[in-house]
Amino acid sequence: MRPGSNVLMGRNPLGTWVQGPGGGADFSHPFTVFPSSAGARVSRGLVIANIAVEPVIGKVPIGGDDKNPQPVLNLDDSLVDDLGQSWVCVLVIPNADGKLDAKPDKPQVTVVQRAFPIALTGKGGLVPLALLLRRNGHWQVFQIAMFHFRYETSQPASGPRKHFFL
Amino acid sequence: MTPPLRVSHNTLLTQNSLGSTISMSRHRGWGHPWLTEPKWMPKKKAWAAFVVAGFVNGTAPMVRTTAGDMREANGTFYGQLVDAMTGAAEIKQLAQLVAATDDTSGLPDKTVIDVPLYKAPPVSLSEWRAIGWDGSAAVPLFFQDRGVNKPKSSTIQQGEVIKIVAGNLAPPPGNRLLRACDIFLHQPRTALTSSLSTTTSGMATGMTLVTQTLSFRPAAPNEMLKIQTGTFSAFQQNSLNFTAATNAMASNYEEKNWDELLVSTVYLMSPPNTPPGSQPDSTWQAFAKHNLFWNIYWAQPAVQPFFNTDIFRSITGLVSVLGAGAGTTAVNSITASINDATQGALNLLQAQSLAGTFWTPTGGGTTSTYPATVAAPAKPTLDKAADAVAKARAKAKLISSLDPAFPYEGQKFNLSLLT
Repeated sequence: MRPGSNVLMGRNPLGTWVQGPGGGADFSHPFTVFPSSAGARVSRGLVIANIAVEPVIGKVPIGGDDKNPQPVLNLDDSLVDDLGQSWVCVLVIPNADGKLDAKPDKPQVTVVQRAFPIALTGKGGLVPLALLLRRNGHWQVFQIAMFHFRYETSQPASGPRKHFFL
Repeated sequence: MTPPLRVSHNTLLTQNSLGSTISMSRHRGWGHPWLTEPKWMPKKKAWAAFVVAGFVNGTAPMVRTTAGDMREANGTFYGQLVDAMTGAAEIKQLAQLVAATDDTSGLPDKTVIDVPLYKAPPVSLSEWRAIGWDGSAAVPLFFQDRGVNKPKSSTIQQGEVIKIVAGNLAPPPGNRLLRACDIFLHQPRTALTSSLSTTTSGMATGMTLVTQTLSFRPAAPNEMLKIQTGTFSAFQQNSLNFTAATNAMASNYEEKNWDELLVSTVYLMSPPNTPPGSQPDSTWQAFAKHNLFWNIYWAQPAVQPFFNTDIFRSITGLVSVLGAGAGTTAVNSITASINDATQGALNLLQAQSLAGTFWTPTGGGTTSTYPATVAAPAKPTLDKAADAVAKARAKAKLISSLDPAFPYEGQKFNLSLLT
């Protein structure tokens, strides 16, 4: 056996090893979704409104904090649409003034799983981070969000509140 | 006994008299959403594009293709029309298609199916427009530096047929031909419609009553977010479907009930000395120029059932009629003010337009740049030779790629959506 293009090959007492160029992304960005058998982890990202807020899973920031490791979002196999698609999203529910509170009683910016990707009107705004497809017993991920989000909201004179992620 | 060595993804195993050789594909790096790769499909004898999955509002657009093209594209579709990534709606659609045919072992090659972009369907490219010597459009500098000559004025294109209508100029030696085909997003939406009626109130007053009624037309029932190919029109990119030249008073008017956005343009460049008017084949070289680099979001203005305008009020006042479920506005004007009314009607259409906006979230607000991509030009120095080299390098960098350098710009957000 000889190495060809893009291959390193060697021998050691354990046998022959072959090394090739790794695949995958070399662009590190916020809100990267990593699925696992336990659920999904999300790399640190911010929702920037009147204050910058890191979304939480449960009550722990998605990147973890001094007391807690990076939290895991439990994924529900049944939470899919007609095409078998599911989304990991950020849900933002501002206060009555359309602002985010520094110390809210209840988390205002959370990471959730939904069977639909987006909501730009209503009490809360929903923006997708990644599309999930169930494949051979595992979740396949298609990353959607690649930057922090600037969050803007407005309340029309009539009708539901608008939410935009810029 | 050691089991035989087998190859997996992106690996090539060859054997000759010297033994076995294992090779691997080079790591291609990060591919942005909407990255377009043109490929020749030998069985179909046509060019197709493969587009890295991009998302609009978190949803992948559909690509209309055929079962035969899917089979040729990925080689595994036959007999596996339903895989682990197939959802209930797709299974239902495929089951109906299979049931409609006598051959249940697989769909006939020509069966039309809609496939999400993340399944890497081939985007068929067929409506090529001629650019360069036997075409009409301007030739990008990138291709001029590769031997494509500027268009000769005496050629026209009628559909897929390219005719030389006048002159008998011979192509320059080494001339290359150029063809282009756009790939763009098609987003259905609700549209604005305007209908006009004119009545004369009587000889005594000499007044003419012009009534403009605005209403809404929903997207067609079977429309969906999809990928289309052909020639992308500039006004579609503008997202405003009418211009100042449109005479809104002349006739009934309907906005298009879709928005479109250019994803990329695929260019095919011929070998040197190809006869003018030739159709592209596998010997042509393919390039892609991208317009989209990031996943995007889309929204359209909220439907406002009532609109008030001072222009019309200053003429005769505004009469508003609210219909069942749809809002309409009736406008009266007098004959002497017909020009004002024309402009007013156009303003009304523009103000009420339901044209949507695509944008890229940047995290920075309404800007689409991360960070500034335009570098300040280098200041001239006393070293003229070094300046000339720097200038030559800058030019080489400019023409070496059809796409801008990373980080790519996004689509700007339309602030009026916030109101």
